[in-house]
Amino acid sequence: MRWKPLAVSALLASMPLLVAMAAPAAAQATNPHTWVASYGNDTLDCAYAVPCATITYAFSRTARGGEITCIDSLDFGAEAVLNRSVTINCLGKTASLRGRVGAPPPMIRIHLPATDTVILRGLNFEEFPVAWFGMVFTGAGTLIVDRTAVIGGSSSRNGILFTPSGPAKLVVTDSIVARHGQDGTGAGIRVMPQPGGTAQVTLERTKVSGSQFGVAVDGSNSTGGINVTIKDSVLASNVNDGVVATTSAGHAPIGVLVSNSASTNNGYGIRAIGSNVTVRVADSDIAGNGTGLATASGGALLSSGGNAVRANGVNGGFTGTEALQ
Amino acid sequence: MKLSIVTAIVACAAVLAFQAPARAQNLHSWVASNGNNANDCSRASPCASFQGAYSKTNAGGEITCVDSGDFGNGIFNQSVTVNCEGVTMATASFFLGGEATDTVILRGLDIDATGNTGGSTVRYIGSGTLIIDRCKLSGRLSSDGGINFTPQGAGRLVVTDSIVAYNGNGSAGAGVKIIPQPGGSARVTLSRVKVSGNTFGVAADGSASTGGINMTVRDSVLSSNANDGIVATTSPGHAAIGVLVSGTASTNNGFGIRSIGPNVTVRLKNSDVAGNGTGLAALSGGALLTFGNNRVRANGNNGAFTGSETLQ
Repeated sequence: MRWKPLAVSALLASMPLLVAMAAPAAAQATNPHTWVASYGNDTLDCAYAVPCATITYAFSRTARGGEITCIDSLDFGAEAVLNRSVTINCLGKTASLRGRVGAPPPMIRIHLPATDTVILRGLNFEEFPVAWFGMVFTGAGTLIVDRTAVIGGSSSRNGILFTPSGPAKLVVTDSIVARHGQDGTGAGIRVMPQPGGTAQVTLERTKVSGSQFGVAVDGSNSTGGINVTIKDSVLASNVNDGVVATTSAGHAPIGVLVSNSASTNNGYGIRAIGSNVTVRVADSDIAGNGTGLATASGGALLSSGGNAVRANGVNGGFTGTEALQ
Repeated sequence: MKLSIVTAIVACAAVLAFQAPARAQNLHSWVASNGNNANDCSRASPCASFQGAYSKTNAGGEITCVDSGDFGNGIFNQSVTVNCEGVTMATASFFLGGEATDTVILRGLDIDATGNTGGSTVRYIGSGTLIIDRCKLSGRLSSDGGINFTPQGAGRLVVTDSIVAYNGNGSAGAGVKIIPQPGGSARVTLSRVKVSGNTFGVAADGSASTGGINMTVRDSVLSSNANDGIVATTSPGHAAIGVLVSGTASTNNGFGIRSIGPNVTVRLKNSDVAGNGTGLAALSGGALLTFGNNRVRANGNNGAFTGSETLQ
């Protein structure tokens, strides 16, 4: 199936307005630590004794670099815009962010200056037909996602859409990303820098399953370059690719390292498309895919050794090897 | 509750027939120990059972648990997520189906079947995808066991970060049993799964289908099962089976790994086979291939590979 680019431009066009709307609230943000609870109320100051109800309100009361935590399991809204450093940590609770009927995508937008870092930990994203994206990253800076579930609905698009317009880093660890996309479009994790953007991405112990595409890396909207490492992770039962990296002539070069990971039971295990794309694979398992390994348009797919490429409809082959050091 | 195939299918049909007009209210439903199925399953007024919540949840929606409790069994046949990470529940069974485009996700379910000798804790009969993550399934002392994956179409199963222990009745039943039905095939990925103390650990059986089984077992532990850590078996003219075992330990079982039948190929990479009665066994033409970096030692009988494969 052909890789179909999504229209990101419409999404990006709506960003300045939303960021502008969120900005005034920051003036009240003085609490280093705020709390939310199922019985919370958004007229309160988000202290433990008087917790708030929604992520948006709690964020407005939280100082830059502060933390929002959950007292109990709750639905705490969505459609939040995070535009400065914050940690949202609800590990051990079910803290659900979800779309609602009539809501525009996505559930959380992260739009940061290059100096800032957002940490999302122990969250549970639920996307539904009305909410196309779990989290969308624009701007610059760093996003860290740990122990988080990003689960799509029956017609959601991307789970994590990483489309920076400046230098940006994404780290996803110990998380599950499942059931995204439909009709041949949409990915669990999609990395696609915009003009002026670069992306440095690390995925570790992350499970990307049951989506149209698993991890899709696309350099065609930028010239800034993309570097992705996927380690100790599982890309399984995605309709199209477990991992696909593609760029077009004159656009961002892409380097992907897949280490000690499994890409199994997908349409394609790993694909490298484009003359500036290099995908390196070490100690990994590529099995049960329609096609195990594939390259197109000059993409390089290099083995660092230790890979099992078997029991695919077509195993395919590496285009070269790399020496371990 | 004992779930036979026939009764469960009948129950499924009855439930669907009854629920069809009333479906599709919630994007997200909640159950709680103090819930009531007359409620709307919101966080503020949760429902009492998984089935009650499912009847009020959109396709692709999610059911979560407010607290620990007894939420009964679930019979689901379309995309849904049940996510109860951090709480425990009384014994429960899930009887699951769905079309090719449906994905059922079970997360964070901590289920002890309390010695129930019938059915299985999670059974899948559909043609779509089942994802099990961070679950604990124990105590189903039946001839099927913990996970019984019996797709009737092109089924896919992904199990990650889970423990499946103490299932089976002593002579039959497995922690994870893969047995596609006529017209069915199975593509299975297990990663970071602990399968211990079962009658059989992971059993792939192609004898009921011609559609094929492809399974990868990775970064997992198959330990102290009475019979096999992993067994793959088919009969002539039935489903071919390919199994890749990578970075995994099969230890202290009756058999470490067994490959039985002319269309069965089991490949081992960077794995440990130790402490079993018999480490490796290939019967009736089954192939058992090594990538050359396995440890097969300290078994009663180490056994041997039938051939080798080259790492790339």
